[in-house]
Amino acid sequence: MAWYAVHDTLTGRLISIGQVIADPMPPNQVALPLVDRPADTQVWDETLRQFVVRPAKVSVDRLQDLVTNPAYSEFQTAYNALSAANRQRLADALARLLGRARYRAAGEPVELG
Amino acid sequence: MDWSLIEAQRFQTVGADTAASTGTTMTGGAANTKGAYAEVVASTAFDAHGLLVIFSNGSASYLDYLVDVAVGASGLETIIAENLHAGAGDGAQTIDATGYLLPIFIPAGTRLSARVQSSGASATLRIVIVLLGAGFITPPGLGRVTTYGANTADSGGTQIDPGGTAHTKGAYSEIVASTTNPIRQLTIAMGNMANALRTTALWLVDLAVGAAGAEQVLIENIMLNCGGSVDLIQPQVFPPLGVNIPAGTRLAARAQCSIIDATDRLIDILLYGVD
Repeated sequence: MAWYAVHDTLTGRLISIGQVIADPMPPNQVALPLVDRPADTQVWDETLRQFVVRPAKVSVDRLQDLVTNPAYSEFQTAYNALSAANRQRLADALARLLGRARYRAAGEPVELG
Repeated sequence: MDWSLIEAQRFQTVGADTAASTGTTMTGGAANTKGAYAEVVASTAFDAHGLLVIFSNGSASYLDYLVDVAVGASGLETIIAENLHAGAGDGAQTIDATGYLLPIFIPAGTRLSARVQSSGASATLRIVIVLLGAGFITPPGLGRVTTYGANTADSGGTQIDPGGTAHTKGAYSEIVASTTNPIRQLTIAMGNMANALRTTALWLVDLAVGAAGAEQVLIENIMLNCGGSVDLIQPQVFPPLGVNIPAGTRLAARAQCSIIDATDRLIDILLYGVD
């Protein structure tokens, strides 16, 4: 069976994807035929009115937060006073301490808990 | 306390590994490939009118799992519940598949076994099954479990995208174009999509029937949440709901979400119809 992307003709907003479509289509809706079911890696673009590649997820390194985020200026003062070798030792220790929590989603706070 | 003399309730838990305080180990094959069957019990002790299938204690964080439960002798297994989903968040022991209650009849003397696939190669997952006996006034168990929306290519389910506007329902995603069998009891499961770094978020999910563009909401605003430290959408499994959905029905789901992150807003859904 063919796949369709039912969307609003006025706004481009995606309403439904499926193989069984309303007949007749409700007003201001159109069924765009698709080659196949959209892959999980695709996302609907309301402007282009087609599926495009979903933006890649970007994680944030909490170690970078510590050395760049102004909220941690006290840490940065102490960190910057260290030699390069000791900075690396500290970074290595923090990486071990944080484990999987070293990285966070962009929308998550820096603080753990 | 009064105990009814006519109900004759009875339970038997099979598959427990009391030496390790866990269940029977299932081991998957290559990534997204079912492994061998593991025997949960060689012979059930009594007629059961239902099964409570419990998963826990996976082998790694951030994995999705699909489990087949089967009856029959070794090498001749017949699946009775296919692709039951479980997922792990930040820790192998975060699996929240608190139990698939399957109201199906299993006669005494039945061998039960199970096998697993995972988004990770050679992953393990533990299982126990609670057999539910019944008395004179208990309805007879149903006979068949039909799975909709499982995606064996990634050991997950059917993706729902709430879209790019927070707190606004996104597009419907078709779970099945036409149900194979009638549904009398419906279990809804949610998948974590093996997302290793989730953002704290809330969801409301609608389950609907009808053609694309003309869906009618059947169950509205099923509530989910995810904590950014656990990285796991919860709950993963809802108890069975009494429904009356005929064969040949299109089922679709949509959701709204508190965030719009293009990856973290996504969830999976799977349905298990019993008749």
